[in-house]
Amino acid sequence: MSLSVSAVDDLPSDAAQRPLVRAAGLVKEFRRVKRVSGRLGGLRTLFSRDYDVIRAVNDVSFDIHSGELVGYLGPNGAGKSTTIKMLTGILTPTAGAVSVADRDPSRERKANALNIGVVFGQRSQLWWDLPLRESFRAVRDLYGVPTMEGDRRQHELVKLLDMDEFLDAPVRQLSLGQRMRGDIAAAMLYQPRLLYLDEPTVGLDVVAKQRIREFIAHVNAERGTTVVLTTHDLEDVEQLCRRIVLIDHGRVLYDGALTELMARYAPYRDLVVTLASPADVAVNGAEQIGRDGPVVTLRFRSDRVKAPEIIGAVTAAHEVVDLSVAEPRLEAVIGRIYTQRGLPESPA
Amino acid sequence: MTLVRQVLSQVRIGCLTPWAYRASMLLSFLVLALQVALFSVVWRAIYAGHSGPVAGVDVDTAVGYAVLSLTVATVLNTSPYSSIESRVRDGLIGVDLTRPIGLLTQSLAVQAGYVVATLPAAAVGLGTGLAVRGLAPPPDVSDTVRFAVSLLLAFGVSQLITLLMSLTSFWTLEVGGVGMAFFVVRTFMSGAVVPLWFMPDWLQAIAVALPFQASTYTPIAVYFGRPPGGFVSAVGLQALWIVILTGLCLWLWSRAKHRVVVQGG
Ligand SMILES: Nc1ncnc2c1ncn2[C@@H]1O[C@H](COP(=O)(O)OP(=O)(O)OP(=O)(O)O)[C@@H](O)[C@H]1O
Ligand SMILES: [Mg+2]
Repeated sequence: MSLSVSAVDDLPSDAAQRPLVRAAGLVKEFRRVKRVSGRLGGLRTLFSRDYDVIRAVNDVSFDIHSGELVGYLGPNGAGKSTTIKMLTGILTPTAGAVSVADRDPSRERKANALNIGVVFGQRSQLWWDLPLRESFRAVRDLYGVPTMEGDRRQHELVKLLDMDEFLDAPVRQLSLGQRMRGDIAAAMLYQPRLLYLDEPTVGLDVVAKQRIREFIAHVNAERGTTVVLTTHDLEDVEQLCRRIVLIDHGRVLYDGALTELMARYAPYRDLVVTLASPADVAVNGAEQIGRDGPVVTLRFRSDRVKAPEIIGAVTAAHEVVDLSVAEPRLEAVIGRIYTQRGLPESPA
Repeated sequence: MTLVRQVLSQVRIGCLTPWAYRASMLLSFLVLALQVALFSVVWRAIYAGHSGPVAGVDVDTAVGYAVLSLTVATVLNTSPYSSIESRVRDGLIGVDLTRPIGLLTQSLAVQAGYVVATLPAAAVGLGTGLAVRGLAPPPDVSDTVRFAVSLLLAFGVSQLITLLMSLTSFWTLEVGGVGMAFFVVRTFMSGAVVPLWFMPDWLQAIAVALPFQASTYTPIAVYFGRPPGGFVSAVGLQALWIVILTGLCLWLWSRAKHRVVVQGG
């Protein structure tokens, strides 16, 4: 399922520049011991040699250049988190190679750690029982941030993410959104070159999500921090990512520009018109895909006909009360890919 | 320099964490005081039916041993709530592994912090001991120094035992009750409850072959001037256990690294 689209083409990266992250033929297999049931089952499971092999990541390759903001997407269980764990060095690949800033993360885990920030939305890197402030202090000490510099950055992050109010509260008492802000700030305190965000907006409300998105865009644009973002919220992707890598069953389905994916698999617009009196609409170059009383939805290929032409044809034939043109949603495209478990035929 | 800063930050974390649960900390001190008082009552009652020493141990030594052993065990044999075991279970080990510090160094530093946090228990245990007239100060300065040396080594042994135990959780995650079994064996074999003197020979032989006694029994035996096999060989054995346990931890961790499974995500 190889594609000719290469995202690197349209990104400002020098051809001679080495990629910051390089994954080549990455494979990760997990062995899941088959549980022995019955008497002393737990103990017998311990010595059991019987296991299933789960190939969570299956020959994944990609390059990420400095300054990119890449969406790493895929349905549940696709192997996203497993890939990220290999990129951070906390899992050793079964086969294939990873390099991050010319280092093998699992072999040079500690040196690699200084280059990367990691936020797992489902986990916290903060010290649960202690005030948030103590976590920041510990992170600064662990990553050797000079005192003055650390004070300045912490101050800036506290302001940017509006954390003043809960800086002295134990992390376990924070709301999910507050905790997530704390987690992201902790990952940025030592200004890593590379930030891995695994579902940073999971479970957050609209405002909290927006705040996190703005922050991600900010560090990417202002600091030049390279970001690898995993999320199930496609609005995150639409707002932040120019490039996406789409995987399923541990394999890369698509790697390229977001606009390219949309242009290929959803090269249409929907025109929604409300008519004065209910009727079916038939115009050249558009197809009626739905009707709900007087509200009719027409779909047309935006690369072949222009919206004003369709609108003109409709208004010429019917009395129109209201109309709007809807962009195709990434959600529709991704949804189709997930349900078909593969790339759809691009409509020709 | 960087390493010192990293280690100190983790000691600080280990020291602050148990105090986040102040009530439970204070309760554990109260339990210690109660234990010390009760043991002293019980030993005196047992000895009341005897004339003279039992197994070469007089009543004051038996009571003094209880005071010291309960205190030392409370301070040294901590089981940090955030040990590797619970972190493996919750998948938080993944977070630890993204830190620019070795996992063993980090864990030992946090454990040491817990010991520091539990130090007030020493005052509680010894204070109670004095109050119930269960403890006499060591005969002279040189005994005090010997005790201090052995206690320091005991600290090393106990921390390495805790670390070794938590490292096994990479393998035993699926088996319930291992932690509890370990706790019981450790408490008993370390001599925290019953001194090795009072154990039958075969049980003593087992206890001597295990590292646990080097973490509690040895320094207290030194305190009462009866180190097993003489002072030099007693501390020598403690040092040997430190070397062996360090080797075992390093070996286990090198094996575990290859099978690290970071749960969930
Ligand atoms: N420790 C493990 N042991 C066994 N199997 C595992 C383990 N971790 C992950 N897997 C399996 O590997 C596959 C990929 O999991 P992974 O967590 O990478 O998915 P994901 O893409 O992050 O999914 P989600 O969007 O649900 O977070 C799944 O089938 C999962 O069950
Ligand atoms: Mg995941």
